[in-house]
Amino acid sequence: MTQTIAPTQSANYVGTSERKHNGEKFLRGEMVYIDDIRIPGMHFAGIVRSPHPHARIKSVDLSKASVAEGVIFVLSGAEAAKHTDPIPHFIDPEAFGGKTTDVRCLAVDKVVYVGEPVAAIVARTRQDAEAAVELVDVEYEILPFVIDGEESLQPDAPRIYEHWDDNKIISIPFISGDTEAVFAQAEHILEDELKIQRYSTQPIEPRGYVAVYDSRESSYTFYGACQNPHPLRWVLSHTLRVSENDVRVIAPTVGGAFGLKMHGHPEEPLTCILSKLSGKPVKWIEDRTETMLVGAREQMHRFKVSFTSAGKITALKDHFVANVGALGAPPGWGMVFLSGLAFPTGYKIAATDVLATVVASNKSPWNAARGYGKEATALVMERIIDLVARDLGMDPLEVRRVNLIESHEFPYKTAGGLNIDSGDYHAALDKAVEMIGLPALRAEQEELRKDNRYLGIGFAFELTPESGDIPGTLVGGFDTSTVKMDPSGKVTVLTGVTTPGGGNDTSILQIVSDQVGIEISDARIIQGDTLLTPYGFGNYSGRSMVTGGNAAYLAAKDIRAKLLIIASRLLETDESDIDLRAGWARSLSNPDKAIKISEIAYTVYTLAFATATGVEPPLESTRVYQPENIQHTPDAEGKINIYPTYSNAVHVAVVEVDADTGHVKVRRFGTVHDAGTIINPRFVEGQMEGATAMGIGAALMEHSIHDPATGHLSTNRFKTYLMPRASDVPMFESVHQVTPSPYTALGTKGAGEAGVGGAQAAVTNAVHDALAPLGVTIRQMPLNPQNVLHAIITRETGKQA
Amino acid sequence: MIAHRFKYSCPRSAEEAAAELAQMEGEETAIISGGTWVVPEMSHHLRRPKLVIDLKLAGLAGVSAEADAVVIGPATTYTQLAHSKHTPNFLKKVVAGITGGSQIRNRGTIGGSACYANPASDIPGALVTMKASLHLRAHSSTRIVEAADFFLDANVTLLEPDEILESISIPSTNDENLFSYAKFKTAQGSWPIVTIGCIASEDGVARRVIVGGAGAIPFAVDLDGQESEDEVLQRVHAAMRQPWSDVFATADTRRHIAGVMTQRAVREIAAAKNGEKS
Repeated sequence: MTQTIAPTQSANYVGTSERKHNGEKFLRGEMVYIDDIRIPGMHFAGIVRSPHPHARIKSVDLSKASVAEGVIFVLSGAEAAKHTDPIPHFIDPEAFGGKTTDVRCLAVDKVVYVGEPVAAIVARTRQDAEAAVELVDVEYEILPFVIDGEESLQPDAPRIYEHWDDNKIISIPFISGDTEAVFAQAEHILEDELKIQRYSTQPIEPRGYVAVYDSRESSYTFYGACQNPHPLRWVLSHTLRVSENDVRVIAPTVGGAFGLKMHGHPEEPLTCILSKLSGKPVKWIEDRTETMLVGAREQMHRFKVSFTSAGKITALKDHFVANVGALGAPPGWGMVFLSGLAFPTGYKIAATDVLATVVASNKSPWNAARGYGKEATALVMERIIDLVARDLGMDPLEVRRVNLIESHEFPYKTAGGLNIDSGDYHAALDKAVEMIGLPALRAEQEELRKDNRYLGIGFAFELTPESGDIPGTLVGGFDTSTVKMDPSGKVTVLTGVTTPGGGNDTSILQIVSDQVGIEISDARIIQGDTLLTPYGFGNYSGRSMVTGGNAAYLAAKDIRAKLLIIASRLLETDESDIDLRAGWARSLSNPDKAIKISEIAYTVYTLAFATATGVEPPLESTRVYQPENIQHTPDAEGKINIYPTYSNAVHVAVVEVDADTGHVKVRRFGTVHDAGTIINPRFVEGQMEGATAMGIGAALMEHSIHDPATGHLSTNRFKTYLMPRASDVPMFESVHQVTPSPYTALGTKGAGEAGVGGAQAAVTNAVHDALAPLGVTIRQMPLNPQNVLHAIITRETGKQA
Repeated sequence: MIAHRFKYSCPRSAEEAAAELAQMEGEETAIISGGTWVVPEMSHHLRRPKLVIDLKLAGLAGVSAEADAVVIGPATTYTQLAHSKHTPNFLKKVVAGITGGSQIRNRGTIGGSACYANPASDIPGALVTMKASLHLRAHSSTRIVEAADFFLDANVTLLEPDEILESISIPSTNDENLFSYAKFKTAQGSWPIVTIGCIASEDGVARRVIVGGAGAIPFAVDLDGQESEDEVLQRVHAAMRQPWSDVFATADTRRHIAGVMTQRAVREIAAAKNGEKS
């Protein structure tokens, strides 16, 4: 009699909050980050950046810089263009029916944003490089510029790219049903708008690269603080005109990424070409003022919804405009596509008319940012729910219950074509209500209002499609892992997914250690090296455990099967009677009969023609995991599904608003999070806590502001770009809910992207709940004192149709 | 990273520092104490002084009590102010709210903050509240100016290019009086939008409230203690003559918040007074 041992039966590590396997090295400061890498003969790059938002380059004079102290090489945009091709777009808008433009590592004819690289220096030290940058004379012909998205859409706006007929990159419709017909018959209609500010992600480690060109081999080794080594290799090879197999990309330890370290940045190929042309290894480390240039998320939403007196939403129209700055090669603009696609999140709204318009401007380009556009959808949908509730005088929780997909309806196909795997949204709402103790809070709110104190409680539901695959791009939805057990019984895992620091490496080791029955300390994992690991797409879209984790699970199962065969022969018992655990294979029926895993491994390698006959050596397996549910063949309505899993969460925020000053204090914050099967609860909580802090920052303070007079970024340091500190956020309260995904091997869903939009929405709803007696609607994010106070002073109720 | 080359000097006294300054003859010079303003500006290439004079060894740190004043060296750090038994109570409260972590509190100095005259810093308003006098030294002369006269505009003071701030004296007459200090900011780590300082008169009345952050320089709101709340607001709005705005708040918002915070300070002092009586 044989039976499959499910992972839970032999679980030693899976499901436990195992500590980071290399945490001690982090704490001791022994991890190697990009700036720790020093290559003999290494020089430093300095980058000359445009001081103008829009200007023609008349001339670049490098003569003074080229003879400056320590300088060995100088490079203009025109010269760089002789050696490099344009950087391939991560997601080319042209492939989706939009406009595109060439993006080069150094601008050639004109600059389109402040901070655009124009020329570069290689010098002995960073100090020499920075000093020489100041000696480069660039003559510009200043052109009119536009930094506001809606102004940029006007016919008379300065044309950012001369070969375009306007500044619109693309408009993407997401249409289902006939909204106008529904509006015509509607019981209630509500129209309003919400401006989401430009803000970004700020990992503690900025970007940085070290490029080493080997002239004998005509090959590059590129060390980069990056998220996607293999796809980056493809980009570098195309830009640098070398074969893909002549580029090795190594990602050392990364100190946070959040999308910022997805590639397409000009400095990536630039560092490489500087190494080749100067003959020296070249390092470039980003300054925080440069990190701050990278933008994301700015959207202007104008929405209209119809609903019944019972709170059932019948139609939704939202035509929104996203100002993505200059078009860069990173995947920034694609966020807008996802904002549109994610409507109407977990709500059943039959008729939707969503139009996502992406416009270029003379702000610096976007890159991906955690949430990848879905955070904007969450914010807008959750505001809509609360506005409908206010309009009807209903409890916003009840409006959610009336409209959310019910647990028996999964899998559920949304209007946008997404196929939502599993969940129990109503149960999650109930848990959130219980966790926060709603009745007591409502009583307190009532009491405080008597003293003109404004307590508010806000809920938000968040659906996060994760682990996506965008057809025709290197945004892949599968990944690969190798598990190898050596003759000593030690395990090495190589995987195509990378970690930005969140712990997927440890989680993968938990899965593998359980399958092959070893102590986790006997396993190691290698990520982020295109020469060592199997092909993979790295980390984004909450994909690392869904793809790399499940691939490692399959590979480890292969090893497990071989170990069980040998153990059964050596212990003379049935395979189903054997437990692999903590370095031992042990008979379940007679626990005195046991053998070390290391002895089994040694047997496979040394007795291949005796005891191990029929068991194929070595103990190695490489497996790919392609989750189910991705549907790239258009359905009858022409819709595709690019996401296999859909984590969800209910957020609840308790805030107090000082109505005299507009200051918001977050008193409590709770989350009920459903990421499917959990491998390591603490890591999942860590992801949610970090994202929640980001969402609170997004709700209350984070804002990248360009000076309208100069086009310069005014918020270029942490004193002006405000992020929440520990003392600005409460202790996070969290509850897990587990509805395994039927479409992934272990039932896991993504757990990396959720939280930003949900937290932002819950805080925003809480502020409005607090200010309900004053009838305030705030239409400009973030809810900083300036915007809140302005809304209170110019008090007005929601726009009624 | 600081890219340009400059001369660095570490004089042993205020006199030595002033003598060096006198020789610079219009060349850009930066005087640093903790360096928390100047060094980041140099790193960002916003400032390229030919000479950096570091006051750390000039003997200008410390708090001492004299007959009718507390004398504070300009190079005294926030941490030192927090720990000195001579630091006036009002200033202790101000210092307790300085954020930026221990690195800033251990490096940032009272004199540096005064001379930098950032509208959003605590110290300018605090010095005006305490009616501090500032002792300025040039190579061949010294002079004393009142804090209320020292600040001219955002980042502009009476300090001449050849002068350094040598000491700060704070009259000790008011130190036992009721006081209030509050600041309004967006987040824990951000610069204040408004600071409000008030040291009550001996009879426990908020007669002079100093508003910092709201305008380009701190300004005084003079009251007689009989005003209605609305009148307090009007006094604040009338007293703000040099408006200031930044990425956090417009001048209008600052004016509004300054009014609210002043009302609260007056209420707080009144409540404290009543609390003492009962």
